[in-house]
Amino acid sequence: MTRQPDLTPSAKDATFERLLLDSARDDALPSAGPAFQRFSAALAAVATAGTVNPELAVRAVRRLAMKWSAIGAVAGSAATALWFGYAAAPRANAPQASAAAAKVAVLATSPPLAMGPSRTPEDSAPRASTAPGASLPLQTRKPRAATHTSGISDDAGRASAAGASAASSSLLAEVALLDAVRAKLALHDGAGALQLLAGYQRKFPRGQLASDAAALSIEAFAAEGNRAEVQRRAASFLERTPNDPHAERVRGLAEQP
Amino acid sequence: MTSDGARSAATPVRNVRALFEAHYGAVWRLLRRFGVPAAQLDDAAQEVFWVASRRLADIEPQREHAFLYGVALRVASNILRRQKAVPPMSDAEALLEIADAQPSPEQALEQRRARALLDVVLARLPLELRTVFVLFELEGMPVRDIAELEDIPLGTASSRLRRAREEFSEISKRLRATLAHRGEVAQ
Repeated sequence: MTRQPDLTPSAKDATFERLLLDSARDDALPSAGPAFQRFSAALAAVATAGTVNPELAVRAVRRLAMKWSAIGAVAGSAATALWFGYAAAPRANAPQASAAAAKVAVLATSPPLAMGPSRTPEDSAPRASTAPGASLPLQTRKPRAATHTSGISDDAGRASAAGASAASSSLLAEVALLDAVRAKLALHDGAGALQLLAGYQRKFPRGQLASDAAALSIEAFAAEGNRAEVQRRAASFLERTPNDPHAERVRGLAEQP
Repeated sequence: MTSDGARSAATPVRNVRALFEAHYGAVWRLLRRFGVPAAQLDDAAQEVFWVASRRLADIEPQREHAFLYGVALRVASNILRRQKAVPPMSDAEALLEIADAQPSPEQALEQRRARALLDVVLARLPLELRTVFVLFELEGMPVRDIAELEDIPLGTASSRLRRAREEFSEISKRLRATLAHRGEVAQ
């Protein structure tokens, strides 16, 4: 226990108050990556289910989120881990693949976000300024076990959830197919990847992961050494969607000699 | 390869991705500071971004942060209004319902306990005062911006902040007295 120096009661109150405020200085900033993965898959599922009522949609997002572990088990094939190698050299191994499978669910809907904490400009606390050497003058108490409840309402939005569930199956099928494409690319099998992508186009002409597929097709032509097709498709891709998250990767492929 | 329909469906997600990347952590932290229970934090943050995804066209460039904070404020308010009222300050035992489940070095434990005590105090501020207090004291937001965010006059925001500070001081003073009575801090 840290003892306070002799202070007047009001000074002790002020110090205590300041220490409480200071304790929020290091509040954690969770990373956006997993949250966005959850969001994007749920959003795609809800959109496909045709839910237009925002309240119902939010409930559907919540309900879908509750199914993530099951979805992850389906979608998280070992090939899913190859997604991590999309912008870099493949580095999947068995433990990573299994961890990714359990955690990332429909990760392949998007390239991975930076996993570090978000930065915020509003990070100062006007009155929160720890005095040098100050610490909370509290004795540590015997820890209590924290109770945890889900806090998620599960009694509404069933119709939306049913639609979302069906939509998630469709999304998972897309994910699985593009996972297979990435697996081919990881093996430098451009022709095999293009064959699978042709199948994707037939099966999902309005696919939710169409831009992912388009970017992968450029990568496949690059693997085949078909520079003309890479240039043509890259120019078309960048003209249509210059701000797409894949744009930088596509630009890089187009600029390769 | 990309159909127009698929592109239009995918575009909002791409933009929301940028919002997530830049603001998710801050929004999540703000919800926590407002007092959203830990078990509901992730859902609440998802709800904020869900609303944002539906209103991307309404978000002015460079105003994403303020927009998301405004939505977070409303989401948190909805959640907190559904909660049971916190025990009054006179309930000394209830004040000390602090979860410290994991053993840790003393300093870290003190830090965690101080953070938990801060939540105890914040939870006893009326919501409208807590909002202003958290935004100013913990988020460092200027009063002018708080007034804009809450859509209240600047004078009202200043007045709320003054009252919030007074209440915060009063509650933390009583909390310290309770802890001193239990021999956990110096008298």
